[in-house]
Amino acid sequence: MKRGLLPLIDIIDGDFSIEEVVAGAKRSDAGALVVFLGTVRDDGIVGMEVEAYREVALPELERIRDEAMERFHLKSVEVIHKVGALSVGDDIVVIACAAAHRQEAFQGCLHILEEIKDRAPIWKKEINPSGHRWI
Amino acid sequence: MKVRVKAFARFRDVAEAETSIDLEEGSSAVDLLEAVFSSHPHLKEGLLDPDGKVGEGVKILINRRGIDPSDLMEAVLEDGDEVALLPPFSGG
Repeated sequence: MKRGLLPLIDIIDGDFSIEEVVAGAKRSDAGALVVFLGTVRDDGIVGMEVEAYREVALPELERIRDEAMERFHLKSVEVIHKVGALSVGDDIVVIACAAAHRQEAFQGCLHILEEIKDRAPIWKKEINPSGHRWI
Repeated sequence: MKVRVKAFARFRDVAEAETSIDLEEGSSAVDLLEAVFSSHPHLKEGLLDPDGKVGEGVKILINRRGIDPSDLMEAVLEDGDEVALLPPFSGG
């Protein structure tokens, strides 16, 4: 996970720092910064495994970011999606959107989340006491 | 010729994560699927709906580009191509 000039988009097998993501997404011309944090919900499961077709998912996340930045006039977008074995309560995905005003930041963040669910080749598998289930 | 086939998530559970399939020159994506289904019949149940069409949300990529299910017959494969079989996404 390396920071460059562009906002960070990544798929990682490990942890991310929400503070670092927020700090990376802040812009001096943005008056609003919305963060979505997806976590593993306790539905009676033991844990979760997340899998991605990284070579395709990463450029798709970048396209989603680029489209959202233009459509919602976002100043900055950061997305980090985890893969690997997760426990209940663990973070799965963080999306941070900075915009001049709150409406654009909220709408942009929701749009990016829905596009990720629809377009990014990423899958979640619930691990329960009797086996597993792809969701 | 050899074509690499990648299967992900629930498809990988009933097939191999990556396998190499021998096909005759000029074979289409449909020919490839039939070859894969013959060795992994459970994959057919997951990938196709009861009418034999590609299931809702299922995506097939050739060299990392999505292909419309209606174009599978016309999609002629070449040696070294990579075909990915993707079940409906559930990230986020």
